[in-house]
Amino acid sequence: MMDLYPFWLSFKLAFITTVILFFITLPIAWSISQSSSRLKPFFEALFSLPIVLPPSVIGFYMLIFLSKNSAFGSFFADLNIDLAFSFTGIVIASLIYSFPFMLQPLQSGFESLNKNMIEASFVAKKSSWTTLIKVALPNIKPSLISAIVITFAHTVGEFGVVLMVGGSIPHETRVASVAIYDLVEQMEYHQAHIYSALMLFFSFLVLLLVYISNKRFKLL
Amino acid sequence: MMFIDIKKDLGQFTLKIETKIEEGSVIALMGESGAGKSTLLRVLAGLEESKGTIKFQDSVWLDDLKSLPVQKRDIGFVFQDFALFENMSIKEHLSFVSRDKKLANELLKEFKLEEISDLYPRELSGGQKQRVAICRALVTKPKLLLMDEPFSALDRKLRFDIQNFLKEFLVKNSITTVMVTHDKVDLFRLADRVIEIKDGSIVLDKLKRELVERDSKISAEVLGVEGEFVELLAGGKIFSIKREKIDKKVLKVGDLIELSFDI
Repeated sequence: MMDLYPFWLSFKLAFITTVILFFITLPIAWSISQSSSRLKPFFEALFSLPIVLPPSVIGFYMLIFLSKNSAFGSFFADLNIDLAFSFTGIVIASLIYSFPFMLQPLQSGFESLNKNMIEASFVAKKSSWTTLIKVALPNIKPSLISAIVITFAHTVGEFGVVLMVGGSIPHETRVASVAIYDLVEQMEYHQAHIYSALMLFFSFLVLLLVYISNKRFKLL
Repeated sequence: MMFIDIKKDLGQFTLKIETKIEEGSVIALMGESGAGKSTLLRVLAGLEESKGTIKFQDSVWLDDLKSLPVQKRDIGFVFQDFALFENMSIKEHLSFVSRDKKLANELLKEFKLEEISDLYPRELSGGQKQRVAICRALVTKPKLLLMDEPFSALDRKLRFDIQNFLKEFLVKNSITTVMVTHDKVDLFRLADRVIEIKDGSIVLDKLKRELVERDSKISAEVLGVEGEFVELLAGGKIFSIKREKIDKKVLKVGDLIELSFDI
């Protein structure tokens, strides 16, 4: 019987990461898009780092950050929560790793909006927050869908960071991508084949969904 | 009274405007493209930064210490590109900006949008969009109404009807208005005062009646007669006026007529 638990863990991790990242990045993407500050490029570069950094670098720093020796890790350790090599730990690592994949489509969606439309809302005495929720967000549906779907898919496909921060603990941190790595190491190619094919199918499905929805919204 | 004394560097020249505007008056802002008209509107709205002072009635909108945010200035703004909310129907546009349903319904009726009020911007023509943009600005009964080419997409008949309604509405609610226009007919139908800007500075500032006295008559060529409207060519511009405004009983294409500016 094939163990599908790694897939369940991958999807659970991706779902939690996507939901949390949506709420974290929404106000950040909006603020950056509205900003004309000289510090804007600094923050844009900082937030894009996870795209260019090797997963091992992120994984290494995350391990240090989550370990009991750091202030953050020891705070949780006092609450009897171990972050390194735990599901909570890989959620935190995923939030960092997938951050730009949610942020950038939202930001470029906001930046592509007609500036006057946003200003018309301000003229009508609406706050920046009301304008974001009632005017800006409903008008960037293709970007919003791209951001959500790509973040979800990117987290499902995450490997290096999860392996470094979470290891490969069955039913805890052994997500699908790590399971495939383990299977190949153990030379269980048949099983690795099935897992890989499932991942391939899922990835294609996700991208198809993005392109179909983008096309649909462009036609509206 | 509104006091304006602003200065803004626009690269090629400096926008430098110093004037007073009486409460409830309608100012037509004229000038060539790139003269700084739209920037002035945006500065008055608080959508663009500038140096100087703006005072409206008892409140200071801009001085050396602060710039009142656009949300606190109590203005209406008709954008040149309409700037409608793509996700909202016409009805939703008005309910989003104001809770006054009675006024919203009245405006929808006056602007002939009542029957299409459930449609979204993508389903509207340019003229319909422009009417929605004007309605959205009026429904809040702002203290200051700023309009950037507000009638450019409207056909003759509608333009007349809307201008008539607007005239009454602005007077009734004592709304101070600054409108950018290139159209002399719009100017003479709505404005009390004309300000012309060139390279960021005021080059002409006159009450309409002073202009009418100066230029009381113009010569115009009849280009066509369509129902109750006559299309004319004067001063290199084509415009329309109501047939009843012309004394001459028989009008033919090519006729030259004398026309008062105050039409």
